[in-house]
Amino acid sequence: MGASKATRSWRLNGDARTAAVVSWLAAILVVLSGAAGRLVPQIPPADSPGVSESRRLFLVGHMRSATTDGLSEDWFRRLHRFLERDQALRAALDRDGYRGLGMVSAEGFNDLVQRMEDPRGLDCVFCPALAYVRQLGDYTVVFQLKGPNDRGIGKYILHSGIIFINSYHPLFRGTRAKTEEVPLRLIARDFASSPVALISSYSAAGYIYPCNELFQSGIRALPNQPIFCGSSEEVVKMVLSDVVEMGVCEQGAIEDVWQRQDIRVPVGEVLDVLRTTPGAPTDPVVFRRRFRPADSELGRRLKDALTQFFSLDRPGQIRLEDSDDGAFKGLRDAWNEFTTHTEESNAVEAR
Amino acid sequence: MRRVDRTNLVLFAVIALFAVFALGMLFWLKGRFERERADTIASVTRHFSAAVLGLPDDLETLRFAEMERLHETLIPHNAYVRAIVVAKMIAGRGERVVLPFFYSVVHPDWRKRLAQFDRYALRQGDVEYGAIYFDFDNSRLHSVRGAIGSLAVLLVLVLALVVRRLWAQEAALTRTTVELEEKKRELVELERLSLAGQLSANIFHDIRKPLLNIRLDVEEIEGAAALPEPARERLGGIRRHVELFFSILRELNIERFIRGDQAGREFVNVGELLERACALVRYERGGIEVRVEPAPEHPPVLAFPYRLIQVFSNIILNAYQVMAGQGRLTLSVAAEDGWVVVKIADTGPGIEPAHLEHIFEPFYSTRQGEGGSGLGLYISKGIVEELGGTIRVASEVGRGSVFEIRLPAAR
Repeated sequence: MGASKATRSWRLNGDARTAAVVSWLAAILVVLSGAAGRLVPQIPPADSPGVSESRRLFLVGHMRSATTDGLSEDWFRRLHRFLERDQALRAALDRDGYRGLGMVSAEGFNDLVQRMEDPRGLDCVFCPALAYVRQLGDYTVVFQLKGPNDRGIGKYILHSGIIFINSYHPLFRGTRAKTEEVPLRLIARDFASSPVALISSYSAAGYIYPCNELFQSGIRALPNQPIFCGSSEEVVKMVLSDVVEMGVCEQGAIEDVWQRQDIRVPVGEVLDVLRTTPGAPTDPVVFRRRFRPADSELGRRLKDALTQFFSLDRPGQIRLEDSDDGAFKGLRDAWNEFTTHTEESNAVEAR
Repeated sequence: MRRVDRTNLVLFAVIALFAVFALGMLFWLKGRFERERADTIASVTRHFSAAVLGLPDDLETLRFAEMERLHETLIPHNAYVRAIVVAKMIAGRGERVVLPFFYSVVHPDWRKRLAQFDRYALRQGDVEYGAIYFDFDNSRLHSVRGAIGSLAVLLVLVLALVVRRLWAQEAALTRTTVELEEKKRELVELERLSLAGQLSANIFHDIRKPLLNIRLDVEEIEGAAALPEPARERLGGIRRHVELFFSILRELNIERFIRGDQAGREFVNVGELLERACALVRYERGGIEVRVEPAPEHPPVLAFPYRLIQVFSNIILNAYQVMAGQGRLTLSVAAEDGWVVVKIADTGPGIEPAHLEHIFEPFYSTRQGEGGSGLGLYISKGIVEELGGTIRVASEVGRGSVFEIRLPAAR
């Protein structure tokens, strides 16, 4: 009997000992994971609940392959280091209950929009203009990016899109007959039937506005064979090398390429700009509404830090210009027009 | 001479070795260039994969920025490629130059230009999705090839010189070997003559003793007994013949001549020596008429008499032999301004001009194979010159020859 008790006691003791060891191991793992989290900011996925509401990271988001030339992954890493060293910003983050600042590189346009729509997602975003228009989250525009070819109209920064062709295209007019405008229907028909080089499906100046322009001809102007190149420069190179004969990009990109490569052949001899679209707003930098600089100390500190950083490090001559939500009203209308036309066209096609 | 030849050969060998070594180095360098060029081509073609250019029906994969980055990485540090042009194959349209993207704009004749470059097709499986045109920088390769060519020429030249030199030496060696063989034969002949001389001397020496005994016996017989007249006459005849033998022996002093005893010089009458020499070789005379012109008074000559006899007998013997028992031999001695001049003229066939200048050279004989050693005149000339005189010959083919020996008169 005594022996049996002893055995049970040993077993109980053994279970207790095992439970204690497991508990300790779990505790060590928790501590280690916490330490790792402090060492390397953990970027929670868009649908994850977050680490802790009170001690989460302040997340700055951007697209992995930025459409704006110069805003590369490496550049965002430099920005991250700069912001982390900003004492005032760190103090403001701490006051607002954030344990630090993290950079989130979204896989693509839809991933970025999804993360923006998540209430616990991104707090500050370098986003394409269309992403700001399409997202349902509560963001406010603080800055607009301004490249060397972008022009300011009033207090907003706009850039136009262009539809252009190379000299192998049947609509090419050469340098002599440029005064004669090519009928919109001809452009729209070719746009819809031939391969066209485009920046991306979420580019305002490089896709939405040109499509809307061509919709006016009555022809469904969505390209049947779109080649999304990622940037205006790539579009120009694609058309110039005659991989495709027609392209759509932001205004000024052709001149940029010409200047950068020191091409001596006059542009008019090899490329022909058929249409220039109305100005579309350039990409914004948006904050969550609660961090609007007018109302939030953290928002103000972040705005100051970004301004300071852009004054030191301006990739591709890009500047930050103060802006607000009003700059994107026209784009929102254009987007609505585009979706309406697209749905109508799809309905016709379905019939 | 031999040492100089060896030095030249060593020099040639060193040059040839150097050239071979340099050629080896250059071939290695050329191989390395070609290997690295092949590696470059492989590396460049590998980098411009279908994932960068896209297949012919895929235009969206193409990224100019990525290609330009690759180009900057691969080409600026490359020693073998001046430029590359990358073309993408587009379904239904053919090739389009995508790197540099403005190539077809800047060069409207781009197809013609690219035809001058080396084309390497880019393939994925059986699908050709593009091509890379290499404008190779072959200057280094050409330099190496030029150097190889130059060195090869140098090597061939050096080898040709060596072969030529070796040939020349081999020819000289063959010539020398032949000459040595001839000299060997001549030496054997001389040895035979020398042996004959020795034997002659021994025979004379051995014959003299019994003849002396004969003479003594004859004299004893003549003085001791009263002999009948016919026997006495016969004995007198024997004694005279023996006396004649000794007189001849004494007269010719042949034993000394053959043994070559070195006696001192003495004042000699050249005319007498000439007659003794003539008598010495009379066995070869045959039907030849010998005319000894009356010798005027002439001074004596300080000389080795037996040597002068050797000279005269040698020339007279030659004359007898070339006249072959017919003709005339004229001997004369004269005094001329401190010289005693001896002339020995024959009416033989004469000497060809081609032979005339060589007849005093050693082992030169126009009667090779007929017993002539080619040394007689050479030795004669040496003896005359040793006495301070000269010997020369004048000859006319078909009419005969005249040997003139000039000896300094004794004062």
